[in-house]
Amino acid sequence: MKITVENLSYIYAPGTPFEKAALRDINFTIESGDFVGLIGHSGSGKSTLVQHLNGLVKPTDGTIRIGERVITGKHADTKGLCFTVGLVFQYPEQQLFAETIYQDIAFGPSNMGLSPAEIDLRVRTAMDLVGLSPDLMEKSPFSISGGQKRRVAIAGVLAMEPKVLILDEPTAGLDPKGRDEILNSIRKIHKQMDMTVILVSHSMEDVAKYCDKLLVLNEGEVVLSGTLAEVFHHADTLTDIGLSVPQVTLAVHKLREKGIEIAENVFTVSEAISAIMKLRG
Amino acid sequence: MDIITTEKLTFQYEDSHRKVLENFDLTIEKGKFTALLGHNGSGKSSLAKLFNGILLPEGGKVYVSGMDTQNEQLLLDIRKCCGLVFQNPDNQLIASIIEDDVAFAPENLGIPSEEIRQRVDDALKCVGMYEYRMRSPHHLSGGQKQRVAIAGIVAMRPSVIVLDEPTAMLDPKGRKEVVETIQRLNRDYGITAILITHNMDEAALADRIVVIEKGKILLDGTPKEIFSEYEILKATGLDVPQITALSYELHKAGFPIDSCILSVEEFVEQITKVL
Amino acid sequence: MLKDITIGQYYPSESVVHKLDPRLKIILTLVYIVAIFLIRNFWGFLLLAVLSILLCKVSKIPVGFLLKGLKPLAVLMVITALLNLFMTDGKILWQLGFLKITQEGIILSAFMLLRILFLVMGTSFLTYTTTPITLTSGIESLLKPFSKIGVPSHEIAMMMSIALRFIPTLIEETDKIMAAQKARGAALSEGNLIQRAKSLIPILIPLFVSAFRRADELAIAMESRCYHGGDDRTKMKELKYGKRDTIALFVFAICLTGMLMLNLLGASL
Repeated sequence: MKITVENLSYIYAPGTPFEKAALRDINFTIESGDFVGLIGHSGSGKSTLVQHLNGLVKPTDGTIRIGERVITGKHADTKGLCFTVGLVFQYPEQQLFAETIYQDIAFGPSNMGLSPAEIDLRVRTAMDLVGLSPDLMEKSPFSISGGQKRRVAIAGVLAMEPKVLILDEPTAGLDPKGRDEILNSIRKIHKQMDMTVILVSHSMEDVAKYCDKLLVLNEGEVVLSGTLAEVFHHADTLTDIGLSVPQVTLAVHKLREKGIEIAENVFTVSEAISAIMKLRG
Repeated sequence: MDIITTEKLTFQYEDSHRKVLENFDLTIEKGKFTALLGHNGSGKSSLAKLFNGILLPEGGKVYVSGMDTQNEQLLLDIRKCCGLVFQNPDNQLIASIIEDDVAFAPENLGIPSEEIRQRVDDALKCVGMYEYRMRSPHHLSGGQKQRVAIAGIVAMRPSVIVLDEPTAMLDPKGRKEVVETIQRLNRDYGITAILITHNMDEAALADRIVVIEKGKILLDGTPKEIFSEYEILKATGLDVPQITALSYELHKAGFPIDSCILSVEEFVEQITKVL
Repeated sequence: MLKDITIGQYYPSESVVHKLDPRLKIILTLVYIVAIFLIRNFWGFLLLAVLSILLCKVSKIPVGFLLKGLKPLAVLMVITALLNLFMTDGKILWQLGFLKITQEGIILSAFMLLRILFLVMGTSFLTYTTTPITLTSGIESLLKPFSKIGVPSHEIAMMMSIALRFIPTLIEETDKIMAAQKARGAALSEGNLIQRAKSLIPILIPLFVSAFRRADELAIAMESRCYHGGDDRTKMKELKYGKRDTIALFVFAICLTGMLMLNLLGASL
């Protein structure tokens, strides 16, 4: 589903000593089916921005369109928006509450008013998508490991079968293995379910490996946006705001500066290997 | 000289049958910066709590500066000598004002007020948070909170500081702040630093890396030695920095470059020569 | 948002009021609370208003910040005012069915409103000008004489300071959990009472789980920092009763006497 954001601004706590422009004149478009990485430091406005997209936060100014729906302004149509735009918060395992994993995942679908049979189907599908074994269904969500808890939480949002899936730092606090597993699941979900995915992250390596397009936020403004190649081309801008490009991309940039004719758009280790192999012929 | 020694250390939690650590022998040299690497559940966090007597060994011994952690009379001395910093900065700050929080440990130790004031100021300056001394923790960024937590330990004037995944909840900027603080403590103040992490880029900064897997030491050596065991690390589910992975793969494919390169600059230098 | 509540917050500044001995401030606040109920006419409140503004100036707290603290209590204040307005017997000015407004009602509701207003503002001064930790060490010190009869003064103070430290954290957490459950379509403010109570479960359970986890981690962190109860503990900031405290005490006494004298100007209630 296509997302259009025009002149979006958000002022936090207006009229108080804590007043702060959290988002300033944000403009971007995300095409249906894109896998977009949203990058920026804590406090850059990433989390505030994604909460606008499912209607949790109302902008101070500007327009947001999700598909054909205008979700901002006086005649905003936000009813059931959270079922269309699924948002997985940071550390989502901290919101688990039900007695069983099944019930927890079923929370979203039952709020949609679906039939028990449909809910059952959706819970099973969602568990399968995130790689949770069906044996776990009747277990307490508090009795499983941290990584599994996070999968349950993600499944809870997937079970609503949103058209857009937003994940706010889904790998925070996980070890490399847990991180790879979660990101691979998300990639699979993106392909199988034909969802538009927005991945909020501060790992350049991760977004380089999984995303097609990037949106870089700094102090509430969009500083860079476009395909991986377009964004990583501006390595200096990224460094200035305290972000980096992936190590291999940096290495390739440096080689090109030295006059070596290596392919420019290299973001992952395997791409770098084949680019260097090609040079050797 | 060794500051922490474990001898045949065995440990398991009461509600579990799996041994978290088994016959674990490790010595940490004084003044060094050591990284303990391993993924979640490898036993590395339990190890941190065994170092200062929060957890006690089921078998074997842990000595901190020669003191046995099972000797209850020495407990305060052990904790004063070996300070612990935890993952979640929010859950280790206990006061609503930064400087009061940093004063907490010295107050517990019964140090006279003027000296506490001195220690608190020194500790806050040492982590670069002195200007924030009158603020509340909830107005700080994650990296700043974690630096305050470190100051709270530094104010005890410990010989060792053990940090249990101090950067896991932070963004790159916060990580950098915290890691630089650890390096400074180690380099300029001579405090032995033990960094528990699963972040390879951070571990690469240490003098020595110990890789722990299933309660045992899997690898032990300098960062260069450890990262050259690319296959083992990968099988364990640990990362190596991208550039190291690249140099390893190219080396394997017959390029005459080192199999274990740690920095982009070095890689560019070596690869230009052979291209 | 829940974060906007300013009651109980500290307002950092280097004023004389901030530097006063917390024990004095606590006792004076207690006396002040009693004194408010002794005020018999509007002159007393007028004086109080003037003194409050002066105190704002001296303690460098913006008047706006002080008034903002009243916002969360607006509902309580309106209800109190309305109850008094309609429920007081006396000279009827206006009547519609069983609802009647009397002259006495107007005066009484204005009085009640002012009482709550000054009660909250006055006590807010204590928290605005005293860091929570100084406040708790003040309480600890005031309770110390009672420890002989088994009052755990140190423990009470420790619990209070931890509670104060974690209130903002837990409020933030509640906001976050609420947002996350709303993102799964939770209807938090719809339906009848039972439905509403039920809809709190997805918020309360995660909140409790997290509070327990935090408590657990905090206890370990405290132990790691050599915490072993109140014995042999020293303080960085020793409480010292000085000259400025005596001066403050006299100023307060004069104001209090003035306030009570004003009662003689004509008791309206």
